[in-house]
Amino acid sequence: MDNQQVLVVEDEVDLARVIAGYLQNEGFTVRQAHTGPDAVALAQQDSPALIVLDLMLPGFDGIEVCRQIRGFSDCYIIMLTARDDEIDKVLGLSMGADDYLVKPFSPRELMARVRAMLRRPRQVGGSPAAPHRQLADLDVDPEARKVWVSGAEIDLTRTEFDLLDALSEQPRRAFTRRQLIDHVWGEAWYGDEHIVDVHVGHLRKKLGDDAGTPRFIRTVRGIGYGMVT
Amino acid sequence: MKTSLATRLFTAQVLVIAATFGALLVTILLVAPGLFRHHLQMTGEDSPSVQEHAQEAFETAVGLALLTAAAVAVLAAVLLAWFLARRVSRPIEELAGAAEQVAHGEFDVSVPQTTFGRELHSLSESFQEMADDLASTDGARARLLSDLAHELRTPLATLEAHIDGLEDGVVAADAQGYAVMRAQVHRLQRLASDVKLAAAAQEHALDLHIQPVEVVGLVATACAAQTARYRDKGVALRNACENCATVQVDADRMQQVLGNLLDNALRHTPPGGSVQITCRVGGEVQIEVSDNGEGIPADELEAVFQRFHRVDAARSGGGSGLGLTIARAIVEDHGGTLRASSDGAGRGTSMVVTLPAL
Repeated sequence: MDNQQVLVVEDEVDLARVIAGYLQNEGFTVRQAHTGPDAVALAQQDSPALIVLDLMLPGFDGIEVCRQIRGFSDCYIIMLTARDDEIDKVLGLSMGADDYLVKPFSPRELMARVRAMLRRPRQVGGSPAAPHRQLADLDVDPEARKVWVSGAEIDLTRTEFDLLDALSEQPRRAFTRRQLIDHVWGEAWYGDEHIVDVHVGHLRKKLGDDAGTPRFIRTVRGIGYGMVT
Repeated sequence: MKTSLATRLFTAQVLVIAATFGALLVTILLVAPGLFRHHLQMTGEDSPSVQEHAQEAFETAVGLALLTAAAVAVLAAVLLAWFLARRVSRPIEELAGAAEQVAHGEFDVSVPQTTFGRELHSLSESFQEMADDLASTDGARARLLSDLAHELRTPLATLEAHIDGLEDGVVAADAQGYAVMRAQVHRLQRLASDVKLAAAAQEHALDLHIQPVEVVGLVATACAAQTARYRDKGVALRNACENCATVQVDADRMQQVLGNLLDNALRHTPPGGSVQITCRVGGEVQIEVSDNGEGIPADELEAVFQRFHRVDAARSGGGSGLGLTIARAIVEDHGGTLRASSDGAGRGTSMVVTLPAL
C-alpha cells in the first residue's frame, strides 16, 4: 500500500490538514486542494488512487469535480457532505462517487473506508486467476477487470465492476444488500444500505439493462440482487 | 352519531309545514262550516237539497284545495331542504375535512371557495389563508432546521477530526492545534447567538429601546469599531457622512446593523479595495455602505438576505450566513428597508438602509 497517492479536496483548511495527517500516517503520499478547479488539475496531474472530496467547494462544487474527474480517471472517490439529505444527489448525480461520509465523521472511520477500498482490487487480483465468465450476452474478465456486452466493452467504475464481479462469481446466488456491501465496501462499512441500489442502478444503465425486464441483474424482492440465469 | 345538518334542515321544514296545516285544519273545521252556513242562510235559500249540495260542494272544494296545497308544500319543502342542505353542508363538510387534515399536520390543503352565503364564503377564505400560513411557516421551520444542521456540521467535523487527531497523535497538542479548536467553538457560539437573534428579529420580538439618535454619531461609532479590522486587511474605510438627520431608533441595534454591513463589505472586498459610507436626507434618511469588492450577480441581490445564503456555494471568509438576514429584520422592525444593489460580479456592492425621517 506504500506510496499510493491520495488527493484530499476540502475547503476547510484545518480539516483538510488533519485528514492529510491521518493519511500520511497510513503511508500514503497526500496532496491537498481547497477549490474545485485545483482538485481537477491535481487529479489530472498526479492520477491518485483515491480522492477524498468535499461536496461544498468554492469555484465549482464536488459533484462537478466528480463528473470532470470521471472523464479521465476511474480512481476511488469518497464524498464528504454536511447534508445527509443530499446523499442521493451525491451518489446519483455525480455518477461516480464510490462512497460517502456525512459530516461530522471520525477520521478513523474515514481511514477504515480508505483501507477497505484500496484493498479491494488486491483481493480480486490476489486469488489464483479467477476464470473468465460468460452469462448470456455478458462477458466478465475478473483478472483484466473488463466487461463486454454482446462483444462491446463497457466502461465501469471500480465500484460498479466490484459489484458485478461479486454477483457474477456466484450467478445462481441471491445476495442481500448487506452481503454485497461486505463484498464490495468491506465488513466494517456501516451506513445506508441504499448505496447498493444506487450503484446497481448505474451498473444497469451502463449494461443497457432494465429493472422491469432484466437481462443481466435481477431484483430479488425483499432480499437484494442476483444474476439472471 | 350526531344527526346531519341536512336531516335537521329537512325536519325543520316539515315541522313548519305541519304547523301551518294544523292551523289551517283547525280554522277550517271549527270556523269555516259555521260561517258558510251563516252566509247560506242569509241568502234566504232554504231548500234542504240546495243546502246539502252547497255544503257538499264547499267541503269537496276545501278538501281538494287542502290536499293539493299539502302535496305542493311537501314537495317544495323536500326540494328546498335538499337544495339548502346540499349548498350549506357540502362546503361545511369540505371545510371539516380540510380542518381534520390540518389537525393531522398536513397543511397543504385547498378549500373550494363557496359563493353560498357571506358567512360561509368568509369562513372558507379565512380557513384557506390560515392553512397557507401554516404551510409556509412549517416549510420555513423545516428548512431552517435542515440549514442549521448543515451549518453546525462543518465546525463539528473539524472539531471531531482534531480531537481524534490529538488522541491518535496526528494533531500536536500545541498552541496552533488548540487555536484551531477554539476558533471552531467560537464559530458554533456565534451561530447559536445569531440564530436566536435572527429568530427574534424576524418575529418582530426584539425589545427595541427607541430614542432620537443623530445619524452622524451612529455612523462614526460604527466606523470606529471596525477601523482596526479594516487596517489589518488593508482595505480603506472612508466615512463621508456629515450633516445628516436625527432618526428614531434603538441605537445599539442600529449599531449592529451598520457593523454587519461594514463587516460584510470588508469580507467581500480584497486588500487594496475601499469601502465608503455616506448618508442622504430627503423624505427619508438613507445610509449607504458601498464597496468596490466582489459584487453580487443581479439574480442574487434579494437572495443574499436569506438565511445561510452564500453567493459562492462554499463559505467565504467566516460569516455565520445570518448577518444580512438579521440586519434586514432589524431595519424592518424600525419601519425601514435594507436593499442591495450591484453592477454585477466583480463590480462592487452597495447596501442602502432607508429609515423614516423624524
